[in-house]
Amino acid sequence: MPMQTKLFASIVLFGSALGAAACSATQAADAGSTLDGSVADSGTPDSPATIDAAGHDATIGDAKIHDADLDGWHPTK
Amino acid sequence: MRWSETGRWNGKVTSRPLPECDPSIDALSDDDRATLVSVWHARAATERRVADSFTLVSHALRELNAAADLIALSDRAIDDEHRHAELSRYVASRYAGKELDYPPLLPFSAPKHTQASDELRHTLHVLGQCAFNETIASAFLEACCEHANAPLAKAACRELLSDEIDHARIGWAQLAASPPVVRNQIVAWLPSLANANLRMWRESPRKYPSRELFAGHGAPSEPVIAGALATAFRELIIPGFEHLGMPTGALHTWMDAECVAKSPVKITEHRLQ
Repeated sequence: MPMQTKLFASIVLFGSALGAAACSATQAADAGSTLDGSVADSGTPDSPATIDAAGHDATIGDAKIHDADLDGWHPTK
Repeated sequence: MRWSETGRWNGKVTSRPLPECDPSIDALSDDDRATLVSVWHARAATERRVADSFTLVSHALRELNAAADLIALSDRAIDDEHRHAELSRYVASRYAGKELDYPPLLPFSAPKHTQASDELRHTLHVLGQCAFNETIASAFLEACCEHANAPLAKAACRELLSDEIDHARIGWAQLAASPPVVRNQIVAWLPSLANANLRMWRESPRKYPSRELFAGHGAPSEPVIAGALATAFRELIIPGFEHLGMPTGALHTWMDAECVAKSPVKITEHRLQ
């Protein structure tokens, strides 16, 4: 198994299993279900997309996305 | 600064003793040692800031009535990040050849997410820190481990990675425990969170030149960092949301537009104090 696949399994698969196990039986059932088809995606791989030079704002299809209200949060490592 | 005696390693900073001797450090020039002091000292500062961020995550999880195990893991993460700050300070000290103080505290402010409801904001705080930042950190540290060959740096990176994986899991666990209606609300925020996190990682100051020598001591080159960021999004984060049944078309579009691989992380050469 490639290293990144192992990391995916260790983080995402283990984590989501942890979440499903941690919640109640009803919640676990919900957590295991997928979103229904009514969920509107805000973009598709074919949508035109742009990112401003500073990397702060994006336009994906008709949707404008900005992260200005995240300014000041710089955790990183 | 102090970590808990009841923390992950019962008061120890690391799971295993760190190498007491590292000839590869002794072999460095003074300038190269100074560069690596700066790298690890800066890492101590950001690790300490992440401890503040996990205080926010723990609060958010309590407000969301999250599972007790997840809250406990997040509380432990606060302690872990203090240990990481100490570990990084210690490694910096080893390169310096003398005990260093902690670096000045870096500012931290909670993301406002002004257009989100209180409940959604709490969820976004958990996702932003754990599913994004800690997952990216895991990919970054995996790359660090892969390229590190200096015994102390390699051991330190391995210790950091083992905790970051746990921290990242909190985000994916909370997401999996969230009902579909909540996950539905989150979808529209994903590109924004992705954009902000990528920007933070790109803009995080890494004041050293891209050299194989430094990569061997836990300071990977510009292309390696850019590759780790791309890997984090392409192989971990986006597939993670898909694993939980969330639409990711916008994220894929964002990835293509953002050109993670085309716009490498900027590392500026910097003369150290």
